[in-house]
Amino acid sequence: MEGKLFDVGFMFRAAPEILSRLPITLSITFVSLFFSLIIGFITAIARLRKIPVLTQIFNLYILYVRGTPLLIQIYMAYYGLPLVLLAINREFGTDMNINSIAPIIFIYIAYSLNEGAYASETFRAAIESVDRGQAEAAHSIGMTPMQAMIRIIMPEALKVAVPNFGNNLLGLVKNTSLAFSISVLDIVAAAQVVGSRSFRFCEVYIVLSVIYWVACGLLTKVVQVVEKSLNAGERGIAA
Amino acid sequence: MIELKNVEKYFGAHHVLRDINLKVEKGEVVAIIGPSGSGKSTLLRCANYLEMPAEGFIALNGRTIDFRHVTKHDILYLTRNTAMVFQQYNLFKNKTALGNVEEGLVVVQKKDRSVARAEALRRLDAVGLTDRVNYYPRQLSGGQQQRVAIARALALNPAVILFDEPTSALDPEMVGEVLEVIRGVTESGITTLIVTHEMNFAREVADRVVFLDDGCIVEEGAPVSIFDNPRNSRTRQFLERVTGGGRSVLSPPAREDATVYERDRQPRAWLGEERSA
Ligand SMILES: Nc1ncnc2c1ncn2[C@@H]1O[C@H](COP(=O)(O)OP(=O)(O)O)[C@@H](O)[C@H]1O
Ligand SMILES: [Mg+2]
Repeated sequence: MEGKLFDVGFMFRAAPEILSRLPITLSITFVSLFFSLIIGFITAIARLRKIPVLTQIFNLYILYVRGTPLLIQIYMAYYGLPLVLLAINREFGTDMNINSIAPIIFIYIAYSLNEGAYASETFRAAIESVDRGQAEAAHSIGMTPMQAMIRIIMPEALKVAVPNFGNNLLGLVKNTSLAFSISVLDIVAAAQVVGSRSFRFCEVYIVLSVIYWVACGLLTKVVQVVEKSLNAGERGIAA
Repeated sequence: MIELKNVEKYFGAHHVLRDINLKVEKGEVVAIIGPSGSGKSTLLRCANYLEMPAEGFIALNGRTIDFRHVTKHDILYLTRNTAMVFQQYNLFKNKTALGNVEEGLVVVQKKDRSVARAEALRRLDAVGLTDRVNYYPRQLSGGQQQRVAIARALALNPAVILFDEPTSALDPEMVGEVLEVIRGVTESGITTLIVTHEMNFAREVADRVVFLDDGCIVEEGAPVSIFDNPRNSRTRQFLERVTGGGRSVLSPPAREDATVYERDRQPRAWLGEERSA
């Protein structure tokens, strides 16, 4: 008996196994998002203040990230960082066990650095877009540069930045699909396992598509809500 | 008391302030006049360190700061004892009128929220904006925004208040209301430096007028002597130019009410202003 060319029911049977790996995909997304914001903020401030040496290093880092494919960056983290650690072991007599590092750690690092470069550009553009007069007013009432940044400039810059961060975030979610390349067991890896067991690759990739599509749709909604709440003050007169 | 001594300021190779010496006594009102680009804004901005002079000293209430060796503490001392009212108002866009005035009280002076609120409301009331305290800057007219900015500056109880062309960005019909508020400020006894093109107003409220040209203080003295009897030819030329040969500031206003600014509310062609449609 010939099997079905396309098995709709199989998609529903495969979905739970694939979805069981969703937490990994989400953890890559949110861990990288968190660190990328920190990296992005620090590097943006250093570059805006034109702090010598750091500015050049960060500019180089951003050029590298923007000028090379993410897959190469993942491999650089996966194969490059262990070498660095081994060199440290040799140099300082430490005894770090390279093999015990889970692949997902390299993914966190690669994705945080990758997203961090884009976050840096977003932060920088947003802060630069804030009218100079705002910073001058903050200075003139006696705020420290830190107070001015946190109380006045960042809140206004965020309004500009959030839509761009939204786009970055969607990109990040979709990029997580490359994590399987260093054998991290995310939803893509799970789909491949199911696919090669059943040879129903088309079905499992449709399941994957739906999962990514729903995730991106939900995140878009979340970003819109954040955007709205940030701009809420400006529309109506406060009660 | 605030005093600038031997202040030099460059923008690149451009020498913008040349050996500025200016002493303003406590409670004195000094008007700074001069052509566009002569360095008036830069002079004010040096006084609260929005610009960094190359050299010179500033003395404020007994503390002298050498502009060549300025510490973070010096900067905070200057900014916390002076207040600036900008030509473009520069209200914090994401805060209401009340929030704008409260901000410095809470963040800089560390006052309790409730104390700060009461103080801010009092200051907004004093500039006639009780019914606009919850409005955001973009919901206020230029004149209202500038009055909030004045309330914000005064709330911090500065030793010196600096006005940089506070009415130049305003539609002509709003100039009067802002000048009235500034007049009140000058009468309150606070030390005031005001850069202005409102010559009638300068003549009326200032104890002393300083004429700045090309980065130099060319002439200074009582309003009558500067306006009615300028000794320097550059001062004379400037005054002739701004009064346009028509009715001039050389004839003092007859009455001291707001109507004397009627003339100033007209478009000032020499400022590039056009009659609003
Ligand atoms: N940030 C700046 N960078 C370079 N040049 C400046 C800057 N600010 C002012 N200048 C120049 O310095 C001179 C004095 O400017 P300013 O103090 O604004 O004059 P005023 O307020 O009397 O019109 C002008 O020639 C102006 O072009
Ligand atoms: Mg100016």
